[in-house]
Amino acid sequence: MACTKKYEKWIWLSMYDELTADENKELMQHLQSCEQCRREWENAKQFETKLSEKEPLQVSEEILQQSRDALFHRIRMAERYGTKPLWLEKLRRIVTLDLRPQWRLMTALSMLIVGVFLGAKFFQQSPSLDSALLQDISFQAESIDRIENLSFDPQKNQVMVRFRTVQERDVQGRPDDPMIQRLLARTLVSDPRPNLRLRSVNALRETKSYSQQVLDALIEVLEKDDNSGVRLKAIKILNSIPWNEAVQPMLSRVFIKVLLQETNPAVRIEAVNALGKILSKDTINILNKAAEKDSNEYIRNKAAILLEKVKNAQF
Amino acid sequence: MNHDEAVLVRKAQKGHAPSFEQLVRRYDENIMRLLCHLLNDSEDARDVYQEVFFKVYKSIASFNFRSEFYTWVYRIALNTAINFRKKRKKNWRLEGVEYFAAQNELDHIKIEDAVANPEHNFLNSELSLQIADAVDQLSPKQRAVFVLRHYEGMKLKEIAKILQLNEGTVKNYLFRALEKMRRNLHEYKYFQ
Repeated sequence: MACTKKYEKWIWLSMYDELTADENKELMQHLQSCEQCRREWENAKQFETKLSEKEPLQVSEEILQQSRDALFHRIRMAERYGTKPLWLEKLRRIVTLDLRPQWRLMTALSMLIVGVFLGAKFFQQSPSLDSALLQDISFQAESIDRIENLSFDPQKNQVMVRFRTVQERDVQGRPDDPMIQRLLARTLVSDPRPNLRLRSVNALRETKSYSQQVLDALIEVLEKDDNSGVRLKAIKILNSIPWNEAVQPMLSRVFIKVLLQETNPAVRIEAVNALGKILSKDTINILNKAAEKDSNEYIRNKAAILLEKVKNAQF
Repeated sequence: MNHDEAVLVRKAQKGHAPSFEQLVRRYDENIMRLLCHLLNDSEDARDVYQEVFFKVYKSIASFNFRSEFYTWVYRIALNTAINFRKKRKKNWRLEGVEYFAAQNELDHIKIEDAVANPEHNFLNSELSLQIADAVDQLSPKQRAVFVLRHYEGMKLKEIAKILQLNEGTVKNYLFRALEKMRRNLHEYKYFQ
């Protein structure tokens, strides 16, 4: 339909009150006669409402104040010492060959020789990032000074971790790689940044094999992490692990603790669902308690339904 | 520009530090929020905040009062954020999406609210994550226009001044951004 593109654009702009009075009037008249555009209008309105449901982002005063302090400190330093340190200025002059003519050729040749030497040394002989990591059998996660950054690409199923030992290092590998799992476990239990911890759990979600260290880390996160998002993702992973005799006692103990002590209902919902899979006296007692006393209606109902199922199964 | 602000700018141009500090405090909360939306990562936003206001400090002497001061600051912020994203390693591209989930949204599941309707709150945090991801997939100009209009509430006329484009072009960017976001979010059950 010829009208569609023009009015489709106007429909969206009208959501943001960006049409002139005449355009708005024309659009309203058009909507009365065009079924297709009316549907588009309804869809756009619904979409805009959903977008607006997202809570506005609040910048905390603390973060703002820290950023200001750092900025004003940097400005004071720049005023005192100039915006560029002297050595940097000298380096700039060498790199850009901003030198006397007789030195330019010499410097360019020296840099070329140094470049060729470094290239030959580091790029021909050293193994690739991945193989260097895999061959580095002496590497211990305990020797890491600090995790600098971590990201997970679900499309490639690859985790990238930048960490610092004596120097900063980048490693890359699949989430089921034992080395990567050690790094993820370490990030989970000891990194203060919730976004890195969340990325670690997201990466672990994409694997089916977990080292004991990772299981311990997930349990520790579930019991102690102060970020409810990280706790929620951790319990989802633990809930997805096939329960066998080796892990069942440990996991049921953890889930019981969560159901009794966790403050966030979304996390408790996962716990109640998990406990429904175990038919033991302990879990039935806990489900009874949850059915009677949990402050959340959903959890009370869920616990009651699970108990009913257990009863019907004549456990 | 109002008189009070013009006086502050002139003083800052002469090196009066308290005036510069006042100008920073006037706009930095909005700029920080804008950077969080554009970069999707709080740590990056803090780094770029430094760069933006340091650039403002270094070049305030060249501000010629032909535009509003805030327009000029926003332009510096947008350009710095766009350049920062270009430099950021491709492999780290996905990193920021979770920022909202970890730092803001999931922590915003207040206990009292969650008791009333935990599933709704959980879905709402998922919704925020999806929206942040969809914004992240827009082109730099589309993202800038969408964030300034939707989150900062600026009129398209003001956005056109900041981006030094004509209003019609900015309207097109907003339209394309919304179209693209709707396509990207269509798979998510909230938007069906």
